[in-house]
Amino acid sequence: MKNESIIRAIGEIDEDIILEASIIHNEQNLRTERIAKKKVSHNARIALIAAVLVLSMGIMAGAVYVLHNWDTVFENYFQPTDKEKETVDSAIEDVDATVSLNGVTLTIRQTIGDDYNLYAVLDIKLPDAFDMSTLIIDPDAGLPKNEHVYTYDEATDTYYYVISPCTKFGRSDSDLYMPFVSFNQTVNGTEIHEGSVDDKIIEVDPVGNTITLLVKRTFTEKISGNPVTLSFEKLSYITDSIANGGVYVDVVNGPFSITWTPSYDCSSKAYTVYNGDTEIGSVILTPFYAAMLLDDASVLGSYRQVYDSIVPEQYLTITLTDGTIIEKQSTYGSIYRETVDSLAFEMDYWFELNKIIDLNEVASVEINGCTVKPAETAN
Amino acid sequence: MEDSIIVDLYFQRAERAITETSAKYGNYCSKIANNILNNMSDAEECVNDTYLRAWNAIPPHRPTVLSAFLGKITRNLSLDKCKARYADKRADGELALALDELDGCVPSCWSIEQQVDYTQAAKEISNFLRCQPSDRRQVFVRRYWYMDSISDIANHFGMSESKVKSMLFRMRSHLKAYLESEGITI
Repeated sequence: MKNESIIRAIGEIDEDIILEASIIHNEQNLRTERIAKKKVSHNARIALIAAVLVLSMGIMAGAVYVLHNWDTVFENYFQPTDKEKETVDSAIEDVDATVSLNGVTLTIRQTIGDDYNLYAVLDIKLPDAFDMSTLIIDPDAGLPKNEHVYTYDEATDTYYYVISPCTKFGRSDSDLYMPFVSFNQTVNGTEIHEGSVDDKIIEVDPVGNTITLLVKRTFTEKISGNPVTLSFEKLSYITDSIANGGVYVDVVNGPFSITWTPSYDCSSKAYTVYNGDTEIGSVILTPFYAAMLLDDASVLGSYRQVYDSIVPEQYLTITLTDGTIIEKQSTYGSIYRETVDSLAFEMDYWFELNKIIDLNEVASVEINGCTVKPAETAN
Repeated sequence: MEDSIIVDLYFQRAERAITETSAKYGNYCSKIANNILNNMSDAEECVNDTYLRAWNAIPPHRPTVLSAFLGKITRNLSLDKCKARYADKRADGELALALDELDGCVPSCWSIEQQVDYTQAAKEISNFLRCQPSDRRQVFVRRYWYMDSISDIANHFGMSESKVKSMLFRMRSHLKAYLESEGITI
């Protein structure tokens, strides 16, 4: 057979590459569709009766709209009211993307997001052979100084070392591995390093050998409608902070990669930041994130007198119509400054709002007490 | 049922391993086989042979990714059947089209008669694919591993057929250059 060599060689490529392009979902969908088609004929009479019932109920009570069931992780994290759930229902997605490699299974259960930000509930199931009790920290030995190296399970009153997806960090193979900031993230295959990262371990399940993460990401490329990939080299944990002589212990090697295409329909509202009459940047709000993009941050607030050579912090204040004030202090983002002494610099910051807000109920937005006005056209 | 449990059934020599494999991966394997053979009856035969091969291989082998393990068996059996069926004649279906497309992709140092070390070549092809953006990599694998049709790939990724074709064309050219630069003489 002509060209058999190349066809056979392609057949032996790495399994994770084969899995990434898997057709299994297609096949399962096909099967579901077939079953659904069969059910239609069986249930035709029932459907007819139901349609009549719905029609009559609709006349009495209006159409019934079924909202997404929120994953318990999101429920506990955002503690949304029914109204807030309704507000962001089109921004929530049941993903259920799963990949398995080297005994590790990654599952994205549900995500919520907008064009540039997402939260995802990610399960990491460790190999069956791995004994999670090796991660338990003996309370008598004292806890590591760095809180990022352990997590506490309230139900069992047990401290565990944090298992983190780790990527090589630094310039050489011998450099350190960074927990919690270690996913490589790509949109449409392009690596996106910018943006905030603040992943949290939510649950450790020693019976199911599973760790549940709340992954929180921002991107500088539009994610909605584009394939998003989170990947990492290996799973490992650190025995203490590096300063205290902690060492990294590998649990299992990858690389691991999970890809899905989010499709969020999320409202946003843009504001223009002025210094006097001069436009100096913008703030973009969505129901759970704020982005502050300043072209000339130095003119804001009174810090010019206080901070003459270091980068100042910024305060974003959102006041809701019911009087609730949400104040966020800048903690991460990117800053461009021409010289150390220059007070004119660009600053891009992203703020996680920690709760769902209804954009229609935002009364005012301020940055360090400076004027922020709704933009003429919302993004 | 989770893959690890199915694999455990194989290790226990429980015949239920086959029924569970069939329930979970039967359609998946059939799709691969039919893409290559373009014949449902032959495809079904290959899928049944896949279960037998899996039964004989596990244990001692413990597959890390069961779907890929089964898919590889199905793919190889289907290629074997296709080779036997057509001998010197031209294959048909997606396989024939894929073979034509790959005509310009084989390094000049390869020959049909040469005994090829697929493992080394596969390693280099994997390396090449890892350097590609995810969407291109997936399109390539869909076409030349799963033997999906261009139209199916275009539908799946929301691209036009011409975009898929041009993407594959560029990747084939780059792959050929890459394999030659890596000295894959095999």
